[in-house]
Amino acid sequence: MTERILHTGNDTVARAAISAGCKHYFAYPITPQSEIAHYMARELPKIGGCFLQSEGEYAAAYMLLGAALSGERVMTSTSSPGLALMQEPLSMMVTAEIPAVVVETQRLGPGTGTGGQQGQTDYRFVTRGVYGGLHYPVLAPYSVSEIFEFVQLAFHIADKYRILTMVLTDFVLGRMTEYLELKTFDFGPLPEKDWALKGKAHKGGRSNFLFTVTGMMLDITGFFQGQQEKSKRIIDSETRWETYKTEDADFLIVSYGYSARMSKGAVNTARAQGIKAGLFRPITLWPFPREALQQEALKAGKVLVVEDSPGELVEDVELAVQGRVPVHFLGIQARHIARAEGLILPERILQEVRELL
Amino acid sequence: MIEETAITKNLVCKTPAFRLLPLGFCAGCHYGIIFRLIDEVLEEMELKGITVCIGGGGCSAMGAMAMDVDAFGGPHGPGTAIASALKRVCPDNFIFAIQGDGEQGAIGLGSFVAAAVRGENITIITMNNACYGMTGGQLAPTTPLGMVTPTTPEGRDQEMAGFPFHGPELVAPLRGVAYAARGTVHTPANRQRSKKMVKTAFQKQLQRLGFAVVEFICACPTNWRLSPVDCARYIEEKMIPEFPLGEFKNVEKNEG
Amino acid sequence: MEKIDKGFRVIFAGLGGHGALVFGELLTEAVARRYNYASFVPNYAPSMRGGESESIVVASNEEIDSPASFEAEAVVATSPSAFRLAEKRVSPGGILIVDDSIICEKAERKDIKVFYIPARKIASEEGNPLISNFILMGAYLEATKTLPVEIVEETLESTSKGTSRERLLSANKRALHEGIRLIANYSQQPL
Repeated sequence: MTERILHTGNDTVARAAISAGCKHYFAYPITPQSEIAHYMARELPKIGGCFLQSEGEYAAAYMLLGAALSGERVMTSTSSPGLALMQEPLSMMVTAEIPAVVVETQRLGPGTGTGGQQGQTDYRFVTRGVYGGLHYPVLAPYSVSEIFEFVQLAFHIADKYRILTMVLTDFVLGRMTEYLELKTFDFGPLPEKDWALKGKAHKGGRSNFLFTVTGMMLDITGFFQGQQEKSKRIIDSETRWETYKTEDADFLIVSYGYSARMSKGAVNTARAQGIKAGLFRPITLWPFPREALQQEALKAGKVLVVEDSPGELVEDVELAVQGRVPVHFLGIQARHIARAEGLILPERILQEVRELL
Repeated sequence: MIEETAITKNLVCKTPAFRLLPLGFCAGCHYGIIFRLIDEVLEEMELKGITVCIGGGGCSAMGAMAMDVDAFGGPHGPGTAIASALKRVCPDNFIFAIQGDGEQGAIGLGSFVAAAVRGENITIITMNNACYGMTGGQLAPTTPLGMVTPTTPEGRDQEMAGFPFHGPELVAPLRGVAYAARGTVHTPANRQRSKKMVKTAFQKQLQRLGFAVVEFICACPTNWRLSPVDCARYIEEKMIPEFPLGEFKNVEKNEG
Repeated sequence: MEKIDKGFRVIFAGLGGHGALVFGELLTEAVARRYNYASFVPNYAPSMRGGESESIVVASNEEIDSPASFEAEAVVATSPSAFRLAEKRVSPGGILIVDDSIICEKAERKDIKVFYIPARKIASEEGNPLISNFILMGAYLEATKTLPVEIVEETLESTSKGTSRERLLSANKRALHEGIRLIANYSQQPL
């Protein structure tokens, strides 16, 4: 039987990265995910890897870029304000096709003071955050077991498509403890990293020059054509979602991350009370499972989006259902208390479902 | 490799094995001389097979593009952070970064000093042309007092823009720094001195002694609005008095 | 959430320094020795010290759908500011344990069982206010009978081994039993 251990979400991020063969990690401390750095600082030297605490998030992401040039598996992790500082290097990595993994433990809003608190106010930011007109895949786990799987999957997707890949968690998922099954994963074969910069002696004397879109680029339209084709391949093969009790559902909750976990409890209690509720959970936030969601929404006839934010996921849901089904929204005002420690809890979600029936 | 032209035919020494020729620098610019010099040192030290060059934004990016070594170019400022991480992951590779003075003294100052503080075993080549060459010659941290630029139309005034920035002198006292020097290529003698500086700086990395930086004073005829000859005179009269040439630190062996 | 037979939920609603996190961590480890599934969600204010600090622990033999909920069968309250909310969060028929050396208010609900335990005061008299959460843990175990104290003691021993908590082991164990004694003798006390 697979070994099961109790683990926090943050420790699981680090453990999963090491399981995926990531030996190099660059980061700057920020609540609520510094435990990832603590774990890496402790474990990476033991396996001959490199842990480096940078002079800031901007530098951490550039270090990620620099280390990724070697073709090695590398990772950084941060939380919302830190991710904002990383956007320039991360955008550059997307454009220059330098693969790496970023884990974002989102927290509430910009600035300090809310540090360490839950919230899901980065959906739009992570799905539309890069400049340069391109996208990167975002995986959104909702349990410690999924964090373990998705961080490893993220490394695979990154290498498969030569693209920066993100895993988005939050305060609740990062800090919570639950059972983790230490499974091993085989996601399939990967292409050779012939683009890596390890000195031209490595490549029979042929030198590589990696760069971003610049004035020196001779075929801009061709470059974007290639990128659009790559996006399409990712959309076709990597779009992921999960449905829970939707087969006969006449009420569909759409949610991701910690609020999806709360929604699951609400679905079960609703079912116990004779309400045929189901849950649709996008697992990749980009690419967003539009078609699958539209089908489920049309089947159920009624949709409630639950997210701990003023309304971001709801925009993608509305785009997906194209006005063919009413879309209701339960957001940050539904927290059990108004303060930073507030959470959207299953009982409140169930109450909303009952009111909308 | 490149088409023979009237210019290349009459060269006294062989053309460097550049990936990109001709270089797109303005007439009288010193960058080409410096990149050639670096290329010669890499060749002579037999480093090309293991070298990765990190280029910056602006004119200095073209060096990384041109030299026939593995290279990354584009980001403006964080070259030292990129080089630091790559060197740590690939300690057996030779990693150097080319930076403009604005990258080192302004937007990338934090990363430059942080890498020096950590004693990263990398080499930094700084191009000090006293302005932001590619964006139109605006004020750089290294602009001498009184120099007119589009963003200092009355000349650099210390009240408004502070005093010129001295990168090598700034980091030389840090314990992680093995080598800090400044040279020019505006005369043949200086070119030879500067080449020795680059060689020494590269040596420090091979000996794993720590952070090394060589700054070059370079002419920017286009933005200085001077002829190449007058640029050399400006370097003598204005730049060198502000930015002294020579070695500010040269650590021979590890302090342990 | 309502499956007492299949497991249980408990909330510790305190202030930073009251030991809510240690309570949650320890109980989760103990739960893991008895149940197929265990979860622990800590929820606390931004800074390292002070502010509201809450732990929710779930024990279950089935996969845990939601690791947090508004209600739980048992709530331990040590935060005066969160007391009214904590009272509301007890499921009907559930148990509320109140540290009345910190909280002066009395519960109003009649459909729950309430125990007032001066844990902080007793712990301070013992010379270590930091063990008050262990007194409350003992009280919780005795009042709810959710887990035998031996399991918690075993867990405490194995998780303290080699850590700075090791030298507090016997004091912590004494505190657990003090909590048990307080609840066992509770009915004899005048309210």
